Amino acid sequence: MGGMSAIIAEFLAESVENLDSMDQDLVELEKNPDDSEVIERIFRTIHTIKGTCGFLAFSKLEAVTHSGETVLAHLRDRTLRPTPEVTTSLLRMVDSVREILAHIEKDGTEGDADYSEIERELNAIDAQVAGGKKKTSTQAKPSKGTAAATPKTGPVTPESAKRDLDRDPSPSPETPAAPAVGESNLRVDVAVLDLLMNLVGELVLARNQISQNLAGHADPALVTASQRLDAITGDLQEAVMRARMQPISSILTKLPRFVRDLALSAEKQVEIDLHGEETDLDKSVLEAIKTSLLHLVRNAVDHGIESPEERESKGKPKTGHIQLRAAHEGGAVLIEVRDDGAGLDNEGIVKRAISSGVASEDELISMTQAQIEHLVFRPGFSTAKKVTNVSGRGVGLDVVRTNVESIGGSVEMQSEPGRSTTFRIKIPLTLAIVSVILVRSVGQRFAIPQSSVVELVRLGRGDKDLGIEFIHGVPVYRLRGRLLPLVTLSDELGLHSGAEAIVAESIVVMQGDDRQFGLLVDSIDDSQEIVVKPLGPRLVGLPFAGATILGDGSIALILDVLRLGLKAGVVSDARLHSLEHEPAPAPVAPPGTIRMLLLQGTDDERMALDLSRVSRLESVDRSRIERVGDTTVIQYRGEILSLIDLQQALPERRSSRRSDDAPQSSNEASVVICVIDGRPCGVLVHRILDIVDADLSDATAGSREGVKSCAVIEGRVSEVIDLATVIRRADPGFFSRQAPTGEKS
Amino acid sequence: MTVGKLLLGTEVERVQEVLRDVSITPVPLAHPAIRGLINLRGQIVTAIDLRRRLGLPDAPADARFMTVVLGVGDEPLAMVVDSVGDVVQVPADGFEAPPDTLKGEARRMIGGAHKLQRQLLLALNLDAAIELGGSGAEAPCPKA
Repeated sequence: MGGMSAIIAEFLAESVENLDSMDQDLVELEKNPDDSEVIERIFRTIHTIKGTCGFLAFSKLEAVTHSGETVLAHLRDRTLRPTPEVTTSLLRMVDSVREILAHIEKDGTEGDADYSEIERELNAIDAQVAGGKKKTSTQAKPSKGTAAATPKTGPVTPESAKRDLDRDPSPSPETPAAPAVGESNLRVDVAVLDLLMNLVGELVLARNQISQNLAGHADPALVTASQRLDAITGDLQEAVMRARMQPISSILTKLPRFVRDLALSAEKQVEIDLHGEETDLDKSVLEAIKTSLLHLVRNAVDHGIESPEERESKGKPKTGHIQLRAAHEGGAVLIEVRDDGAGLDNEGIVKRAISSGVASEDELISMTQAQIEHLVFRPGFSTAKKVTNVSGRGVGLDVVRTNVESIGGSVEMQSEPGRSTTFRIKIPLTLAIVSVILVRSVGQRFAIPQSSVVELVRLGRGDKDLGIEFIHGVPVYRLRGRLLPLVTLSDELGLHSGAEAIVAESIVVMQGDDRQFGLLVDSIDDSQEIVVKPLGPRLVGLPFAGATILGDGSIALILDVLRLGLKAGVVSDARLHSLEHEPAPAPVAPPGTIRMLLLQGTDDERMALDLSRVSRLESVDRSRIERVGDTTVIQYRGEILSLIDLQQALPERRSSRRSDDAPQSSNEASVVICVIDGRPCGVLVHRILDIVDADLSDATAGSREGVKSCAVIEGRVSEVIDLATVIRRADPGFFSRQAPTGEKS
Repeated sequence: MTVGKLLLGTEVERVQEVLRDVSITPVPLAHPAIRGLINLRGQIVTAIDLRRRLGLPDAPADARFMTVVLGVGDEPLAMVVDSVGDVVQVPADGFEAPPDTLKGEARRMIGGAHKLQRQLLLALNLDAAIELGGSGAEAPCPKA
């Protein structure tokens, strides 16, 4: 019976596909009752299945589909409208058919279930429609020769073809019912594709090795051959990757019906919009996230979207919408499920977290926004106000997260209370071949996906901190006027033992989520195409997206840009402090106070400078301080900046002058870059202490030139510096010199 | 296999191969018992440091070591030890409880001991050893 079982297997496979489309089509039909194309499609599908099961002697299936076909014929003739009841019945018929098919797959029989009820239901509908129009009842089961729709069987016999043509003017049932798919498809065992993929991956690595070893090689024939190898490998890899990928639509097709059924039983009105159905995913990944997507959609309908009455009272349209979007982004696949429902508010989450015991009050107090949102993923958490039998207690989010993380992905939730909830799943393309940029940090090499890199910035050698500023203690870099938060790779990964000096020379500007940040690395090597190899299960949760083998056989870890950014706090929590304004922290000091920069002198005395004059705080290498004539200067960002030593610019209070060789704590000097009169000036200070809001109302007059007043700041008497005077004292020609904008003063 | 002063044994069927002088790429931020990744003929394999796993102090940085590649499910795993000895057959009746000197984590991973002529051969429960952050199952009776 080998031939027969192959036919049955074929029949099953196709029917399952067709039934999925039918689900979608039925829901579609309900929305657009006049879409004749959809009706035709549905009709053809059932007709095909019915015909084939006649041939294969599946009588139960035949009876069920027969009843269904009858109703569909009425729909097609427009003697029946696809009302919700009709659609529901038809959908139930589809379910019954699926059930029977599953049985057939399992043991070859149709199973013992009784489907007479659904048949009755359908027949009742049929009866309602023009009582006498029972032309189909005269035709009992069609003979075995009809509608042999499976490709393996022979052509339709002339008699049966005529009979079918009489009944159904649609195209010959010889071809499989799935409309758009041509005959040029092939079913391939997934294992074979897996093997192909692995081999191609190895080929790419081997090619890299050859390329590396041949670089600069003399023999032209060899070089040419290697280049050809290069090109061919590239094409091959693309082709095989495409072979393994399936559009995500294969799992999305179930959703419209799923949502419809859920909404009906929850007594809500919900529609789902699908975008990016053509986004390709590796087959194994598709399987893994199928259930997770269903969970999320179910949650959205059950807990996200409010009842029509509630929505109306909130001024929202009665029908809730779920948007499901899939796209490729940066070497990963991004799937977003967004509902315009009630959202999740922090208070609700926190309360629920406490009541369900997933977090203690102490924990909750110190959580950031992102962490609070993550609470919903903890096992045992549930925001269900009402347990429904549709989705249980709203559980499944922890399962979703486990599922997604087990394939190396991540899931996040964002919510606008009262307005929407969005879940974002990101899945890396494992076994993918991506372009990366190789960087080095403390001797180790890392790979960064090219798609996440915006640009590369090379800092000057030896001027480690030039251009790096500190805002609120966070290092940033000013890139063409914009502030870029910085992350030092060696710090984040804990690479150095602490003893060596940190030599970071380059910044890789990266894009994570919708934030940019700069990664400080020692050096940037070249860019390469590499094969992403997944890290084992023992290495999840780290900011690495995988590893790869480089041309010389060494291993480089691939950075997961988003995870790294999250870990370093420059992404997502950057929502909280946007670093897009001017360095002066919040320009408004509490009333009655002035924001001051607090300094410490060599003698532990305190001084203060009006922060509004300060444009930057820098730490520079003392060796860069140069003398030009009478003035001290420093080269700063391509300009020559006058440098004033604050300590020396002020007249000594004590009789003995502190020597110039006061012990210097480091090779670095703190310089306060100020702008006065439109001119920049660097003020060399001993130590920068803090930025404070000072109340100067009780200040007394200063006791020496250059000091505006004396006030108690932070419990200590501090001298408030008069910057202009100090500068004039140190560098009399400062204000009369050419201003940096090129205008002669 | 030797790790520090301990002689350990595990079922030979689970050992795929033994390597000398492999280059290990460390993985920052990973579990401390993970020594890093090795390149096994194009496959990237995670290497666990058995010393660390057993709570023993690290070997000196320049000490030589050997790497045992195990087949674990469909994913090979590597284990770094000081050295690897021979395959031995041990009689089932020589099996005893682990010595009391073993404590904590180590104890969970050692199922028992065999008395050899000069030494005690500790039976390493492989599953427990490679299960990071978890406790081991009952040790099977090994012949290694």
